[in-house]
Amino acid sequence: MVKQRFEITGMHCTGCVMAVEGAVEDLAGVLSARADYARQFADVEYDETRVTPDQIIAAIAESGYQARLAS
Amino acid sequence: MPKVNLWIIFLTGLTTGGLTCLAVQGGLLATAITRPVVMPDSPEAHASKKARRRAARARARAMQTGIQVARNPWPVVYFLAAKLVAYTLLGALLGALGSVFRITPTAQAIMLMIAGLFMVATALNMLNVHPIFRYVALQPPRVLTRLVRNQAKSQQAFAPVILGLMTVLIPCGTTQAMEVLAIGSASPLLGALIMFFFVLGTSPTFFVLGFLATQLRGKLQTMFAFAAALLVLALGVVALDSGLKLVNAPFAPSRVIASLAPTPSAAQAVMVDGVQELTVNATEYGYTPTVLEAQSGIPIRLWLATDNTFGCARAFVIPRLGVQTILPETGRVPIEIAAQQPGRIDFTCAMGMYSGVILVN
Repeated sequence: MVKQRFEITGMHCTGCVMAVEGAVEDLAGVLSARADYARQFADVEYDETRVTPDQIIAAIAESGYQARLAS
Repeated sequence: MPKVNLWIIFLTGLTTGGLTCLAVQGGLLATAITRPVVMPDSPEAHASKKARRRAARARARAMQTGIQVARNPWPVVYFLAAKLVAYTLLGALLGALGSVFRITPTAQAIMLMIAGLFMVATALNMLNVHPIFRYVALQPPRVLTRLVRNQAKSQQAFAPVILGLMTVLIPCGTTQAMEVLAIGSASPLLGALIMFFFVLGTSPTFFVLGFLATQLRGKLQTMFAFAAALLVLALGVVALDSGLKLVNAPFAPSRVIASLAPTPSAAQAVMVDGVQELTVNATEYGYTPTVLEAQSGIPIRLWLATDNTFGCARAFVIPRLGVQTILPETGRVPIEIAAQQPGRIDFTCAMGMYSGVILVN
């Protein structure tokens, strides 16, 4: 289990937070996702043997936002 | 039990209430008509990949404007129904508390100033002025958002209902005036009726604009969001100004502007039995005259006259002297003021919206 931060662009309201968290948590292997509207990131806790960061980024993109791994 | 005209309260909601409330609670309504989450049980989840991509693109477009689209009016209806229920219960509670507790002008001023600052910051966030304003966005507790997401079957109704209930936490200026009225009624039934008819009155504006927002597309939607932000900004400044006037702050923006403009001719006092008498008419549109003149060292009797007045002007306050009274719909009420030193005695309605001044020379 790892915890990683993803920088997100395009969250315009707190409704977007729900959208991002929902999209990521729907992925098998994701334990929890916590997005922060004010600071525009999401912390995701996931099982790295079942899901990859790229899949998480893709799920966020499918909800209409851009994401990348925080440096 | 004081006499309250529920029809007038309904009309107040229909006219001013609808717009001022929308400015404060529009954000919650906008959230209610959005569907940011694709639920496992929703038809979209079972749709073809192409349909899903189309939906994602639609959502992405909506994100650019901050307002998202629902295709039908039901979320607005659920939102408004929940709001009506919540406020009716609040009205009953305020009516029950009425005899025990009373909102002071200072408490009212603090609430107005907090609401004003919040509205200004919200507008600046909507206009994307600086990332710092993102911190004012009301984020529902995580427990609640989880609950909303997990209620797959009632998803369409659940989120708007929660958001409708949450409007109780951010009443607009006119709503606050109605809450004061409900407290003043000192009756749970009357308090409930006051809030019910007022919120019912505000509903058509919410419904029409809420539904319209769901129908707008592209550029129009961007313009709607921009106009809404400007309106919230303007109303935020008005609320701040009202709060400052209520605490008698000399730097309240409207007072500064008024001091720059030429002073209208002041109404003079009339001497009656060693007391100088002044009359102010409280009307639907404020107080007339707005500038009165009196002499120092002589007691003042200020007559407040109403004639079928139902608006905010009935709730009369002189912040400096601690005078606070609710005038009858029709009648004359005297306010006895002890002899004063030269200076100004500002008066205002309980919401700080209408004001005037007695200049003591």
